Amino acid sequence: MRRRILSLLLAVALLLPALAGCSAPERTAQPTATGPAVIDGAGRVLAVPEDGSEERIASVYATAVPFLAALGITDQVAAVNCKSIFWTNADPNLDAAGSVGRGVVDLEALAACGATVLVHRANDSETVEAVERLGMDVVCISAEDMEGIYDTLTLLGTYFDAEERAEEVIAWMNEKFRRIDEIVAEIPEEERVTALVMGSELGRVAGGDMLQSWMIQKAGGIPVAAEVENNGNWVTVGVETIFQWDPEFLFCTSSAALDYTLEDILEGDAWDAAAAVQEGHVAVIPAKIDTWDMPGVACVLGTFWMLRQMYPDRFSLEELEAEVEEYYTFLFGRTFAPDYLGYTLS
Amino acid sequence: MIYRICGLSFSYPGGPTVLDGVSLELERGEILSVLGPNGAGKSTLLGCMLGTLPAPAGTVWLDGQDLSRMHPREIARLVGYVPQNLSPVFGYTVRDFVLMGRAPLIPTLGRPGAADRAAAEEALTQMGLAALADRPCTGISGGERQQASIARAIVRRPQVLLFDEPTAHLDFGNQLRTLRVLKELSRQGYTVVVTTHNPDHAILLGGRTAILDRNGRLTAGQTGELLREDLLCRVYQTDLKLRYVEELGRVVCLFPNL
Amino acid sequence: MKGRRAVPMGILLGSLLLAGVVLAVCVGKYRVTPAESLEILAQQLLGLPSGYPEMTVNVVMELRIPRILASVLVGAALSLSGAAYQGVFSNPLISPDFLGVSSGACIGAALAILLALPSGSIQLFAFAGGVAAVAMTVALPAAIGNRSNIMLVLSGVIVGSAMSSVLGFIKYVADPETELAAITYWTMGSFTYVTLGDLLPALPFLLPPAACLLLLSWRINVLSLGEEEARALGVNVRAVRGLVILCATLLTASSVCISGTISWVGLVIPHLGRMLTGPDNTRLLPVSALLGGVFLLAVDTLTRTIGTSEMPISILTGLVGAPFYAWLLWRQRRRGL
Repeated sequence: MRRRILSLLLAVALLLPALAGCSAPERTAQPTATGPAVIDGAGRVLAVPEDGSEERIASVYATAVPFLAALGITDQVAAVNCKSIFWTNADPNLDAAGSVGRGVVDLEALAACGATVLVHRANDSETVEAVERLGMDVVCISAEDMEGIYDTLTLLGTYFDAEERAEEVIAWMNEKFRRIDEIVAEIPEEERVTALVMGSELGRVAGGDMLQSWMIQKAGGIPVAAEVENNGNWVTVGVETIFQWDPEFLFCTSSAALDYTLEDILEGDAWDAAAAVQEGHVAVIPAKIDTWDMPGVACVLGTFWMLRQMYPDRFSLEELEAEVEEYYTFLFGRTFAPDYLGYTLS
Repeated sequence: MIYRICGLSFSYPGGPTVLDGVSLELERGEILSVLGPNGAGKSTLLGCMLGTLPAPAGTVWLDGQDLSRMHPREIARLVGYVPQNLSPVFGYTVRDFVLMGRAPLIPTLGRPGAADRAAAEEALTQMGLAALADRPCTGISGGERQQASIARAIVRRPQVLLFDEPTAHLDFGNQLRTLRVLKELSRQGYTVVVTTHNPDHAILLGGRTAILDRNGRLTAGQTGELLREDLLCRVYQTDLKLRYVEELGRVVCLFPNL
Repeated sequence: MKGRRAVPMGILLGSLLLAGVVLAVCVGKYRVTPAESLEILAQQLLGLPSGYPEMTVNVVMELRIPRILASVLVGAALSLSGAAYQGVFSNPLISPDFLGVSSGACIGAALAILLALPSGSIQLFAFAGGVAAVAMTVALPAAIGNRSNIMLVLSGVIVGSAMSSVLGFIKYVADPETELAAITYWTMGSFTYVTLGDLLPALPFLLPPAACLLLLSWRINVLSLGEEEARALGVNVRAVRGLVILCATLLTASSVCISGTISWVGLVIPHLGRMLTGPDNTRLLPVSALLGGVFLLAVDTLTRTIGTSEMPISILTGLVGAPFYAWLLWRQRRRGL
């Protein structure tokens, strides 16, 4: 009797997958790539497709999304992994796109989603090899620093036939950074302040090789964690080290969920003596659902915001508000309410 | 002579000496009771006779060979062992359990053949286990498990049978049945060695008795001559009485009053 | 009696496995009809030209076939080694993870990922790690001078904990965005990236030990009675047990090389097998291997067909395995196993 029940269970276990079969969209013909080549973020040489606008894109790498959106090629996206609802709400194409995994690729779902190319992170050769075995192309991107951000815009622009837009975006960013440089140039050396960006945990900071430190420097601040490096990743130095550095400004990232609150820092006894806490110079980088300190065009906004935080006399609230409006208008053709994005500037 | 033990000493690391210069000779077909209080080296002596415990001093000769130079398989062909307090983990059928007694006759990568199965059936029948053959050995009583263990020891027809406290953990009836089985096996020609802490069992079995005291020294002799009140009192460190009971026609070992 | 019971069970499980493999080739998120799948498979096996799109052929031949074969092989290997370990240690509650093999192999793999070595050397490191771990586990009781079963099990616990600390350290120094994900995915176990190129080199480390264990299966019965009794039954306990442990460890380490750590299979399947055939290892070992193949194939097919993104397989084996194991213990307490 027991044996019969077990056999039945095994049979059910084997039959279930049969009932769970998924439908796949119609396949598009695979274009043959000839002509010029590009080098991707992993240093691989790729043939640029004949008509990049015909390519269908899939990705599980959330960092890719801001680039695809900035280049205006989200209509080519078949499957994507968005960091927050901001992207799916702002762009109907992203909302309509499917999913083939979060961070890790579901190979068969990828094969079924109708994509012709996977946009993926640069240091996951296992996935790249597996996807290529499927007969699908892969473009790796590496946007850990400013150079990487520009390279990624150019690479994706070239590959997906949006070169002009890529140039336009880069020019816009350069123009903005030039404006920041002009403001910062007028700040005398003795007025310069020290600053630090803290990550998801207390004592976890952005080292000198991270975009956040570059942004502090660009906005005229002195990054106290400049000496610390960890291959472009967050590094846990501990709260004591932060007290030792004692930065005048403490910014908390919005690129990851924080396992502490601002109140923990401002009201916690341990932080009483910290210069940033005494001056009330502790803030979370905007915004809750769209991140201004992530690789992408948004780092322009993050830099403007830091400038306003550190040197309020040199850069007014109105000027910052105007820049925020211009950024969202430039990329999305519309603006979003601060309440919706989850930030206050005053 | 099947066993000759010369000057055997044994002590556990950091523990007391449990065997101290033990010498013993065992003739074929003999029945020997090894008596001693708890903690005297009765089980250790059996371990040394089986070769499972390497003796640091002294030699054990089995069938004319130095035991320490023999392969476990050769020893097992000559000696059957019935352990104390059997608690099997896996529920093999009694038949499979008994069949494992043929292991010394089967090559390492081999499996039991027809002859082995026939021998197992015979041993099962001899021990009155035929009806239980398909029951799991975890699901039978302690007495039945004892029988199965004896069947497993005799299934390969060894020359010597070593019993480690075969009557411990058994109720009164099963104790008597086991002693009768031992006597019967002795009658069939097996050399039987039994450890026990009950002098009465030694008296019942007759033959020879060896007494191990707490210092690991062994005294052996004919059971009737060796077992004297003064020796037993000294070994067990208590008052014991030996009385002849006419109705039974034998000497009985008795406790005094509490 | 023995033969009559064993053969139908073997045939039953063998047919179930075959049916499962055929079914698994036919299902998945990518839409290929069963008839098309089988036709593609037949065409590829016979070397015939295929009229199907390249992607369709790739999905069947590059994605489904390798992972189906891998899940069957790994399921069989883990279950076989689990049954063998439980036998030689007379302990039905232990698993291949017990000697630290899995965690040792994981450390090897994690180290290779950390050093950014090519994927081939990840397998090699994993294997070396597994062997090193088992060597430590076996050496520790010898160094202490206590060779009892319990001491070996304790030693496995000690080595296992040390290994998790080392693994934790490797994770701590790993790149949290990239390497960490890869290491975590490895420790969780997956058949996603398996290729035939990974599978074929593993066969020499899977088939001979498996054959050796099957040949030793009756001797494992005798060993399972416990060290003292096995010795009294003429078994050279150290040699035979060492051989069984070596074979079972090879099977486990090779499995980790193919798929990463997959928990519960080596613990639960031998029990299920014992319920079907009884404890006799001559029947239990082959039945466990077949059963393990069927089980892991079914679980892996589920992971790749349900949900929008693929679930690590250990989540499912744990969901199935843990309650099943609890039920086993409850049942064991009630009626004895």
